[in-house]
Amino acid sequence: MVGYTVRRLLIAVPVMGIIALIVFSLLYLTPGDPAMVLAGDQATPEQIAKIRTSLGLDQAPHVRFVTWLWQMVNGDLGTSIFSGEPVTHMIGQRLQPTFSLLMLSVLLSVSVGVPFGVAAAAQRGGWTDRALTFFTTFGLSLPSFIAGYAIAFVFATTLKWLPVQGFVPLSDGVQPWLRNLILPAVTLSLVYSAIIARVTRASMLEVLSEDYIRTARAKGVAPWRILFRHALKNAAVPVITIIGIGIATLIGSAVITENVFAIPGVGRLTVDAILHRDYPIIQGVVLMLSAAYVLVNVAVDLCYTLLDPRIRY
Amino acid sequence: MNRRNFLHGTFLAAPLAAGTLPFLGRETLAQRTAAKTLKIIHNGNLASLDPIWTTAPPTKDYGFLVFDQLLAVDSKYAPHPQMAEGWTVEDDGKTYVLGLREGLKFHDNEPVRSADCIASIQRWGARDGFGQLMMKFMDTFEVVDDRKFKIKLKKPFALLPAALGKSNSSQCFIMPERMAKVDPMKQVTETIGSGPYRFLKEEFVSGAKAAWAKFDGYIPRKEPVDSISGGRTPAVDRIEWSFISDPSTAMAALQAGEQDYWDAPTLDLIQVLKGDPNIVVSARNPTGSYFMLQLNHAQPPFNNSKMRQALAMAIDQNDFLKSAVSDPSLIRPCYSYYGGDSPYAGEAGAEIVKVGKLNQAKIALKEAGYAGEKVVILGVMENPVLAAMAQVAEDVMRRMGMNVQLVAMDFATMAQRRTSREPTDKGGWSAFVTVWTGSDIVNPAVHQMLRAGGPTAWFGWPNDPEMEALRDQWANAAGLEEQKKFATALQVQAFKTLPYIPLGSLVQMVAYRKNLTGVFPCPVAAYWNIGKN
Repeated sequence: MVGYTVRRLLIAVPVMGIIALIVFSLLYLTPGDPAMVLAGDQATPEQIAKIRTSLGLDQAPHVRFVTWLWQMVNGDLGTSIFSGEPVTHMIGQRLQPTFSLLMLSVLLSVSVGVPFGVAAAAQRGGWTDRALTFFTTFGLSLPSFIAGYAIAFVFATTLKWLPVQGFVPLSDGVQPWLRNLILPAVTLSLVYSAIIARVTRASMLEVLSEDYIRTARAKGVAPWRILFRHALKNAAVPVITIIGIGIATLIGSAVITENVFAIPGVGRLTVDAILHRDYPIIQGVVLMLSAAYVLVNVAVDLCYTLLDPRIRY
Repeated sequence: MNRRNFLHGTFLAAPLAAGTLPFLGRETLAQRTAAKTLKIIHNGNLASLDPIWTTAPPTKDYGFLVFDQLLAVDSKYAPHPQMAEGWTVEDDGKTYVLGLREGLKFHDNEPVRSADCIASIQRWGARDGFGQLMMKFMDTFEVVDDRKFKIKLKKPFALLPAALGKSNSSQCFIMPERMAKVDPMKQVTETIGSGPYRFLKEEFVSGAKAAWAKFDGYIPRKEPVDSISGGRTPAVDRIEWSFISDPSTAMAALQAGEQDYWDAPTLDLIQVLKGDPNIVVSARNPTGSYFMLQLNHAQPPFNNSKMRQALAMAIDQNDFLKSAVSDPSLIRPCYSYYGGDSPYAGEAGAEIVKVGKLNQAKIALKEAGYAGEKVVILGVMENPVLAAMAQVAEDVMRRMGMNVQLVAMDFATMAQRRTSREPTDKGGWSAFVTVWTGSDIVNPAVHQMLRAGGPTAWFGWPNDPEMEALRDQWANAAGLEEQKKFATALQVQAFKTLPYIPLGSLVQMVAYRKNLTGVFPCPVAAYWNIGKN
């Protein structure tokens, strides 16, 4: 398994290279000039040209790409065109809010989605199953920006139970950290837990129709033991897969949720960078997220072997 | 007390009284410090920390907190001493002697010296339009002592105090000499000023939050505040900016009391905010926002002045302004090339933009020889007001019988495309709607869009030597009356050339909690003097 992990990580290197090339090419083809945005409306063409030169934006694309690639190999993602700060520092400042939001959302989604899916499968056609159908249809069809506004309106604006916006670092205390994250995490979890619940139900139904489950029932094994000990473990592989794939969905939705709840995370950093054409930040963020996604997929693959002894790499 | 009452009292009543859930109780410490912290929802991201290097509005607002100015204009744009004790004019207007107030210090506790002021003026003069104009008159600087210096000119320049004290970007902010010596084309990295608030760089997260602490060493002027002149008193211990890009969230945060002040509430939310008894909505900025239809003078059809005049005759400012906001109290048509509060404001020569008749415009367009040339309007869609006005412009031109295309884009794309002087079928453009503040169009020196030097003019490149000559005459004028004469003549000529077509102005509102004190009218987002009960 160690060999497999190393191989997978090595394969990620050319993948990241290809991603880097694609991101760079897309940005190069996108219209918009950061020097213009940065110089402001009063700048003369000469001043804009000087700024462009000072930022290296007047260099040939291949020169810029090679320079950036070399910096990247050396662990330097460059500096922001606008703030002049290192991109690694800027991403570092935004990681905690996004990571906190994602982790809490995953925790919430799995805590809700898996038990709900198991219960619905156990009572196929019953009220729990019908409730699940309603919940998943609702969760999947409600865009996160509408869900976010609705949840904030009820729990923050009207009931005033929780803050409308903002993020408090964990170092300031668990309570304020949690207070600010609950609403965005619930917003993000709506879709994610609906997907997890649906896949859990489908996978459980398939496993529950297997012969060994029938045998267990015939032997008089307790229903909860059949569900959680025998069925869930064998139904978990597709659930783990969807949790892994869902991380990408979560990252996409986090951009919107961070905006609605004014959380200073990586999503908002990306949107601001795109609007200003701050190329080093866009490139850095996309590469970082791609790397995270690759790592999540490796982790998911490794989880398979823990859940199903038949799977070996 | 029985068991039920006890449980009710401890687990239900207390959290309800606190207005929150039991396991998520609010911090009393935060409540105590909140009274000394002014929390502001700021429009736009603070990216750069150099107000000379960029004219981005958030950086300008940052600059007003951190830095101070030698002089500062009042609400009538008359300059007054700010850091300066005063100034005298010698040598028939060719020498200005400026003295600094005693005890002025930078945030690193170093004294403000003449050398700092001279270096700051030189750096500002290399970047700012008004500064560049001033530098054309400049001969030498001379340090008399640490608190006094002379500005020697080649010929008299009566506008020098107005230039040093101007309120629109870029302002002549005074920095320590080492910062001011940095190449004007590169950003300064330090944040040391001598203004009323110190920037807390360690707390700064670009695009998310910024914070300042009161500078205890700041000595405000004794005079009452009047626009950016007068006493700049730090009235709270700490100022925090949050950058909330979603207007609904910003409004909810203000209503919930999580924030104290919103500097740019969107127009569609003004009525909701006005209905909240805890919120004050006011037009703090007396100058407002001025909208313009910029035309490309380098390409057909608007390289023909007759075409521009025909279009001007078709435009009714009310149609444009009402497309952006339904509240008539926010709408101010403006038939002048200067802002409403400018000393030069007036409607001389403005008859052509008051016609507002489509039939008359159609006839004029035909007489101008319009032959179906394609008109491309660049529409910035991320700004709802600019987007609405671009659509009205398209509609007006279409009804005139023009072959028009509205191209939707974001600001960064427009900022690049508007630099193209190519024909429309090769990536060029014909028109776009833009907006400036009243301070930006207060006089011919700061008014970029009144420049008509062809290739050296602002995007659209109007070419009218007579306008340029009148601007020079205004700059050389001896007193206000003479300046007014040339500024008015310049406007009359501009209405003939039509470098752009004025679309009117909208009142800019701010919204803040009722417990704020000392909010004063100001053309910039100034946060000194604002306290909190």
